[in-house]
Amino acid sequence: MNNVTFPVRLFFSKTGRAKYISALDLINCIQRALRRTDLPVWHTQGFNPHTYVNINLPLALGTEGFCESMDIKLNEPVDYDIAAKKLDAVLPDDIHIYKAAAPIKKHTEIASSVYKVTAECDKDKLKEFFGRESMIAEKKTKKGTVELDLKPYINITDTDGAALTMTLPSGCDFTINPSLVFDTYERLTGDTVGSLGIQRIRILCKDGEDFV
Amino acid sequence: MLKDKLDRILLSVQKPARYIGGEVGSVVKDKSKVDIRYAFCFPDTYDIGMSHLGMKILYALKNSVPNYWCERVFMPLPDMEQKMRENDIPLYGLESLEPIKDFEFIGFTLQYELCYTNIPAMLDLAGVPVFSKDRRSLFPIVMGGGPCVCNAEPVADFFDLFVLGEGEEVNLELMALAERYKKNGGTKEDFLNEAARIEGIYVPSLYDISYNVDGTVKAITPKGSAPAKVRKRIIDDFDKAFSPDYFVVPFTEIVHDRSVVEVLRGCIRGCRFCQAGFIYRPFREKSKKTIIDQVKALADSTGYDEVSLSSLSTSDYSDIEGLLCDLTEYTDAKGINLSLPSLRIDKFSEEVVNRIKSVRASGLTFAPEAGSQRLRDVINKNITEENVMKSCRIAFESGYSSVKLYFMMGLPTETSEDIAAIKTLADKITELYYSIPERSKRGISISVSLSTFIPKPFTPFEFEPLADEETVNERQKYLLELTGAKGRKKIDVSWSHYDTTLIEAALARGDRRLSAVIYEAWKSGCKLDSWGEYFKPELWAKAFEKCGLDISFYTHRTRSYDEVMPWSHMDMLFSRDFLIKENKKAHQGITTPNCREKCAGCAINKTLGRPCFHYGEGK
Repeated sequence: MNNVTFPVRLFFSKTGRAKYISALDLINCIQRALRRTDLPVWHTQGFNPHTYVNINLPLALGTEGFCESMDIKLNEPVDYDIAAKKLDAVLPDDIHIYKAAAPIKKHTEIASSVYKVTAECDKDKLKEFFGRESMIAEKKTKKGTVELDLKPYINITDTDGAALTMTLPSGCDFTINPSLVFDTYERLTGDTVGSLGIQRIRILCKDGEDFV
Repeated sequence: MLKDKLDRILLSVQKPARYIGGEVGSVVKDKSKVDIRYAFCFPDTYDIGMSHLGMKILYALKNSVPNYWCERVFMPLPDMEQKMRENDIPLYGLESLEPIKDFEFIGFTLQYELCYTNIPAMLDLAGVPVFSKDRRSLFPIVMGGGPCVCNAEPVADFFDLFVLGEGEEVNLELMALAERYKKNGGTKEDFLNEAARIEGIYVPSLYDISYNVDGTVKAITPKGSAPAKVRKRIIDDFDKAFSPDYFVVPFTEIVHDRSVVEVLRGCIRGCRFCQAGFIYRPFREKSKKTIIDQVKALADSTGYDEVSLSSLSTSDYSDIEGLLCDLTEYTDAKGINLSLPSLRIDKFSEEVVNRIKSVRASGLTFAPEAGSQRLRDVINKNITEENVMKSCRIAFESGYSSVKLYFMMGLPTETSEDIAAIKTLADKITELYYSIPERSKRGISISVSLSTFIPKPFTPFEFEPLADEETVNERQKYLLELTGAKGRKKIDVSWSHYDTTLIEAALARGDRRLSAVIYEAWKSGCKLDSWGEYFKPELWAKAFEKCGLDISFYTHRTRSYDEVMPWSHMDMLFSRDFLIKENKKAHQGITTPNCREKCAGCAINKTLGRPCFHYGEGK
């Protein structure tokens, strides 16, 4: 019995129609895709073995991702580029594997995400909103709705007219999604956001480096 | 473009992934190279429709022609429909996200009567007039197929044409005709007249229906090129029938989320209540090699870890033991679960039973349909108490502890003694369980599921009335009284609601006047009637009233053998005399052997010009 496994981190984008696939459905989709390849995929051992797939930082429904990643394990070493190409070939059009590599950081090191957001709303009101001393959000948690001041967590790095670039906390312990920011905007200003396009463009670790 | 509009609404509806397409296996073509576009509409939700094998077959078939493009369309749930209407989004194909009103064909599959209101609902949402007479231009042609076409009269006014029988060949013939019309021009009238000449095509507007004063059909008169009888299409060489080597693999969970391979069509059993057992005749099988090749191809292309063998009765496959042995060799090696719905294990050798133990069983289910042997003889359900007990013993010895039993109530000639026999059978199973030393440590769980028998066209019971509500309620109550008081040996009983049964029964044997009722019902708010939470019986009652029709005329009336049925112009390839003969035998409690044992004399062999089985020559 060979107990040695070879972990592979697959980096992918999830855009277009694929942004409506939930995190759970994505795992299912990847597991089936792996079965369509001849990659020597490792399965979890135990009573009900299944293909091991770990999504490092699940993406909120409706958000596009350009730097997503998941970990799988192989029973034999396979060239990273070949593994990436094989899986990419059997995935739906809007999920694209662009790189495979050895995992370097642990997913528990993830601290924040950088988003590019286009919001159809009153630009002046939005500017005024981000200038507030505090912005109390109603965040839904497992224990119910709690009030949370978003102000200390939002870091807007770029506002080039149409799109905003903002950094928000992400990770196992604490996450704020851009949609919460805009829900709060609507609630506090009374304005309505017509369409909201959210793209995750970077995932950062506690040390400020990209998650790799 | 609809994609932008959809992006604005999809996050506000439940499970948006089912409204956006993009799945693996979905076919996207360059529309500049496409001549005929076909919207394959399943008049129920994505979760239901995506589980349907017929749609997968015809989808792959149509898309195998380079200049034809078939897309999938499902009934949106009310939250989505409301958002679509508010935002001017007409019903669209999941592949192109383009409105289906611009396609050449809008085709519905008619699987279940309670989906009928979804037809006007979907046409209206598409921006297409719901009645055929109001659609003057050649395209889109609104067509229907599927089992309910054997009596399509209740929905006839919505459709331009129907396909009767198996669609694998006739669909392409029809699309080729449309291609010719698109190139050369022509009117809808001309097209329909020409289509009516194709075997298996039924154009309802080419038939005049007249009625007697008592409301029964007097005559069905063909016009123009329409044949007096529309002949059902079949693929006689079933081994060569088109079968897809890929499925669209959904992102979201659907009802049957696995690959499916059809092993045989038709049924040898001749259960007298079962429409499928008659309308899918003759019995035909695929070869073992074809089945195994198709299982392998689908496993490779879909990545599903479960495959199901589908048919009306898989146990009747001539070499079922050989098939299962060869197949489990492959599936075990690949780590694929083989699921075998409705398999009768009592006939198998111990070796096969041991082999298929590795098969993940969804539970042990039996459909004796009737509690007593007397009533089982009436309905020609050839399952005996001995069969049930033997299967249960095998299953209990290998660790099963739950059994699900299906029965019908309101069967012809049924009495309360037949109902009491359901309880007796459940008790015997319980006794058997506790007498087996190797049984599981768990207590036995028996669930009894009761549905109400609905007489359907093209069965020996098409003449019979639906049991009335009082009788059905009384018998349900009686069974509950019998099963209620037994402490540890509790039997869990569930049953269907009479109000849905009543509507299904009326639509199943309805005539063309019911199109108006369905329209009224939909207009007043009925849709998704097969979903308990959306079903509105009071609106249906009003719709019948408004149209001046008495529902009991359709449901509770006994038909005489010489009545002109609303579906009399459909030729299902077997003789009507056979149905009458079977009906008489039912009332005498005489069974008919299965077709493999002895020819039952339905006369389909005469139509085919070949025997269904080679009797006396062995397998």
